[in-house]
Amino acid sequence: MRDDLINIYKDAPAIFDTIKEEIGRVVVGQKSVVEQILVGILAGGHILLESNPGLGKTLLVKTIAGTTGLDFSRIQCTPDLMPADITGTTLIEEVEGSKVFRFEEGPIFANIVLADEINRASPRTQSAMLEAMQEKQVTVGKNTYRLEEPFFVLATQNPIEMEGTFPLPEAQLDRFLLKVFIDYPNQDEEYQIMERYTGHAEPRVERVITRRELLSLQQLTRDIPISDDLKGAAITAVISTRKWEGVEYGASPRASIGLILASKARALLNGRDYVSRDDLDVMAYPILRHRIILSFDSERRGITADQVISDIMKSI
Amino acid sequence: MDGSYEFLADLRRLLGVYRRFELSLYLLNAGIIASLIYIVALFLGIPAFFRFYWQGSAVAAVPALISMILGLFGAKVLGRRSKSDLFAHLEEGLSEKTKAAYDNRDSRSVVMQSLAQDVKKRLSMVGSRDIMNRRRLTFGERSVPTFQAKAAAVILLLAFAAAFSQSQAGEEISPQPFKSLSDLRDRAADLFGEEEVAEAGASDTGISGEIYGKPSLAVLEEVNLELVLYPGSAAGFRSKEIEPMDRLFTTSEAGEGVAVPTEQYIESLPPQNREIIKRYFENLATS
Repeated sequence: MRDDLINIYKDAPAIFDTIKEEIGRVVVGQKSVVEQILVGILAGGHILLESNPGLGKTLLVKTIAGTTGLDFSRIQCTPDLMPADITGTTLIEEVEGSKVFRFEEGPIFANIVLADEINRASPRTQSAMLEAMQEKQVTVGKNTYRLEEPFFVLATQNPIEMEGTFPLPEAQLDRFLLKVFIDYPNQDEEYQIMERYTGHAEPRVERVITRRELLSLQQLTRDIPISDDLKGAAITAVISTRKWEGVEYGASPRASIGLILASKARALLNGRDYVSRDDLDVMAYPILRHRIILSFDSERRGITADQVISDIMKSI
Repeated sequence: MDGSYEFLADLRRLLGVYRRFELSLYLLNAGIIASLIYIVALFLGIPAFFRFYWQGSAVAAVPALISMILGLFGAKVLGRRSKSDLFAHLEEGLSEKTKAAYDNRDSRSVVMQSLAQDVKKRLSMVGSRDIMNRRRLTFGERSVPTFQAKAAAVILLLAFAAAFSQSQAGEEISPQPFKSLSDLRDRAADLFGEEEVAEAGASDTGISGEIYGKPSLAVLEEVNLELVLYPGSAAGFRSKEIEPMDRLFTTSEAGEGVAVPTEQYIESLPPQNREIIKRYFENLATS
């Protein structure tokens, strides 16, 4: 096992380069977004992707899932989606003349679950994912079913100002390790997208990493050394969100854990064997932005969570 | 510094260098502050005052000693304010790396072992000069290693203090404010030294020791005597022969005195000396 880890650690930079290259065959640009999603996967956290429609959120998640040898399922969230549609349901089945109950697993039983347009699902259905996301298990009736490792929920959502959406409850937002914004591509990137998707054959990705390799990389992520100073800085940043002027509610201790883990994952992804201050500064945004609830006055003045995070990180 | 990683030995070596460097900086800071304080004291004339009154004594060195103590104290306060550690003296990437490795020295993970090897390799290339040159002072656009800059400052300040002290040497021995005191002391010493001679002279002129407390000027037996009472002494006097000089009250030639009534004589005296001369003759008559 240790030899495996040593080999995978040695090969890690090559593995990451190959994954990025493979994703780049389908997704144009969005390097920062790809990096953040890979960070989330290495840290074993769930990711919320937010952007306007048509920016390739679903394509991106499908592509990343395609590069791994992991089970992938997709849930298209709609207002009439029921919790059982996600978790699964118990069926009565006739076996050799007698009737038996059989649990039919829902789409949540996969390694990578794409919850598309999660904020279109009703709050009841959204909360059905809570247990799965946090406990990595599903309880149906009197039975509890473990979800196979690794397990990630990559949810996409449209900005909540759009019609027909249900804002995610704070408790559920906190369960997402990262919230990643996807911005519009620039002119060159948009030209490449047009070229790539108006031909006869659409690009496809190949599997470049196995489940076992991914689990080893997740283990290595947790082993990345971080100095006590940076641990202190991460905690200070999270605590500051609770006292910062213009913030109604700050981040929970789960954010401190997330910030350290995400920083470690970024360090590994960038081929470093230690966490740097830069990792902390970069990862503070996707880790904290959905955990900060601004006061009415701040929102009225047009202050964003990212501006608050920027101020906090500068003050540390 | 526990742990079995090899980089810890290098870190220990650099820590020794760093401590020596910090001690040197502390002493240089103390030197700068002490020199500045001493220069201020020189301007105020404090060392000159001490040298004048306690020449040859250890007390004369008190201003320098106090400057040194204040310098050491000031350097300590300065050191507390600009607290840094060894890691801050390493180059930025290596500093973060080494700190992470040091804080995780108890870990035996694959990543930590790789990090430890890398840190060991990098630290072995760091010399004491790198540590000394790391901390820099900036003067406008120029940047100078702190150690060299402070050493130069100490040398310049000490040279200035020495030069200033030398230029003030003449004034320090007899500064103007102490000139009169100096004269007074010399005169007092002379008086003590000439006491016996004066007594011999007094007997020649027929004046006894009982004249102590009497008026300070008299013409006795055709000899002009200036009587000086030694200030502060319980007993004794000195008589000193001086050249004859015109006085307001010597209106006739010596030996050819014309008898005049006492009241008339006294009336003829200058008013400011009248009373004292009257008392002198009264005392002379009753002795």
